Amino acid sequence: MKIFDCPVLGPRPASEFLCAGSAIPGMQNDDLAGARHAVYFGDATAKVKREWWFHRASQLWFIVSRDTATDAVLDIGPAAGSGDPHVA
Amino acid sequence: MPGPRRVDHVTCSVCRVTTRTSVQPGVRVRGRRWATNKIDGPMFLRLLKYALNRDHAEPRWFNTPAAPQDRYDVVIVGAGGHGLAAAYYLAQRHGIRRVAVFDKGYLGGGNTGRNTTIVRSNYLTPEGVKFYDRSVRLFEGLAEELDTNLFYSNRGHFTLAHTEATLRTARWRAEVNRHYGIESTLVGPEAVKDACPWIDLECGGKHPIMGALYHAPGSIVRHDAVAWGYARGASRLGVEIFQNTPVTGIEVKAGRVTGVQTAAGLIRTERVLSAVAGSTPTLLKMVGLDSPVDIVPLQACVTEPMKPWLDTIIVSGSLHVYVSQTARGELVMGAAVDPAELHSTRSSLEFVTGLADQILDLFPFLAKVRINRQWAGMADMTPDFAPVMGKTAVKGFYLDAGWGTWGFKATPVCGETMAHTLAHDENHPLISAFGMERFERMHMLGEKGAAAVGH
Repeated sequence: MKIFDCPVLGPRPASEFLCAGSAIPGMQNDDLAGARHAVYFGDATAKVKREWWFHRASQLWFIVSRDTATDAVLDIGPAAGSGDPHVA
Repeated sequence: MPGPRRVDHVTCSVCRVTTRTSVQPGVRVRGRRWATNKIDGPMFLRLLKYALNRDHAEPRWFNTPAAPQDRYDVVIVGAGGHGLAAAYYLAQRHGIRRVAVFDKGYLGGGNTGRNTTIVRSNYLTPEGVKFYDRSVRLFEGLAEELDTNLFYSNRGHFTLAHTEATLRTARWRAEVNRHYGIESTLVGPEAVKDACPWIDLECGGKHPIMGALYHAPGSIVRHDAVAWGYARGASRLGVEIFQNTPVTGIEVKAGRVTGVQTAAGLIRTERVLSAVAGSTPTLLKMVGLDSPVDIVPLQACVTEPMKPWLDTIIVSGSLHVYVSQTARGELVMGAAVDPAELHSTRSSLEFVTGLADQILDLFPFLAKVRINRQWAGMADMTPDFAPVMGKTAVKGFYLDAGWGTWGFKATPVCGETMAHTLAHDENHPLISAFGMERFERMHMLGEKGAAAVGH
């Protein structure tokens, strides 16, 4: 089974987490057409991506860097304090 | 005593060879009962003789020239069912025969050879229902049109409802379907039990079956035969098919396609059809377009063969499973897509254990049946579970994509509508709602209730 080596929770099975899609940078509230395009369109080729992942048991959000060609997790950290502009 | 000899002439539906048969029931050879023919000997010897006999050599199904020409009217990327069907209809209906089909792998080796072969039209939106109905009708006449045995087997299709909410969606789908003349009805649990006596209607007491959407035209079709049939049909009309020849780039000048870079060199063309499922984002990037599809693996598996006991197709959206039994006796089973984007056809133990868990709720007696094989395909998923088809912002670049987990059943209609779209440079009316600009306009089609899991 695939294991996420989480800095907060320790090693946890991947099945405890839900993927909530790419962390899309630079979306602005005053540019709705741009936001729409950012949500529905993108470079969907295989590469390293920053994604939102949710741990169901602890209700914590994480930002994960994952290679979508190999499924290797390169980095995982709590969303809070990640410097991501979408995290309050 | 052996019975009277019967002499018959039998014509094979696939190879059109007529053989004499003269069967004497009950003839024993060395104490064993062989299927024996007095004229030519036991069946295995006849088969061997037939296989080695040059007079009955099966002609090649399609020919690949040594090298591609330097110019084609249309280049199709992807030699799966969709690409080959488009090639066939371009040549057959529109007289466009200077067509080349390129594939980085082998013919039908992508999602065409990896799906669970189910054909149905019980969708939810009017656009979807009309489109898939046309596909089922084309499928029904396809074996004859292509002169290929597709093993088309009409089974009937049950989408089980375990909750009030699913029952409501089933009712909604039945009404939309019937409005368009498609045979779908809401049935109670007893009708499910009648059609499939082995099912546990209580599902172990956890989620009892409250009813089902019954769709009479639901069928299974031999998927490789569909790809090979279209390949042969297209090839006979002059289409050239190049396997193991990746497309590495698409030349665009002033917003128009001018050529395709392949492993066999640069090909000049003004029209390119992308029918590459899991590689769609890669092709879109070649022409500088952003992708509205994401790639997620879809897995499936088969059990060891067993005697025929399941002659319908059973789908449960709540349990995330679908199952049918092949002519060989194997159960073909699938579930929902993997939980995250991944560009790989690896399969996982989580998938097969999760699926087994759900299947046993429906059919507890399968507990000792073994899984023989599992595999995965790369599904090109869209946000609204409807496809992305037609013309694009790049002139001469046509897209047949977003086929996610629901593409095999649409093979003939995709070929037909894309051939029309390429021939006239105008979207076929049946696909006008499927353009990728719908995401910019927020005109989603909302097909998830009928497309997800239910295959």
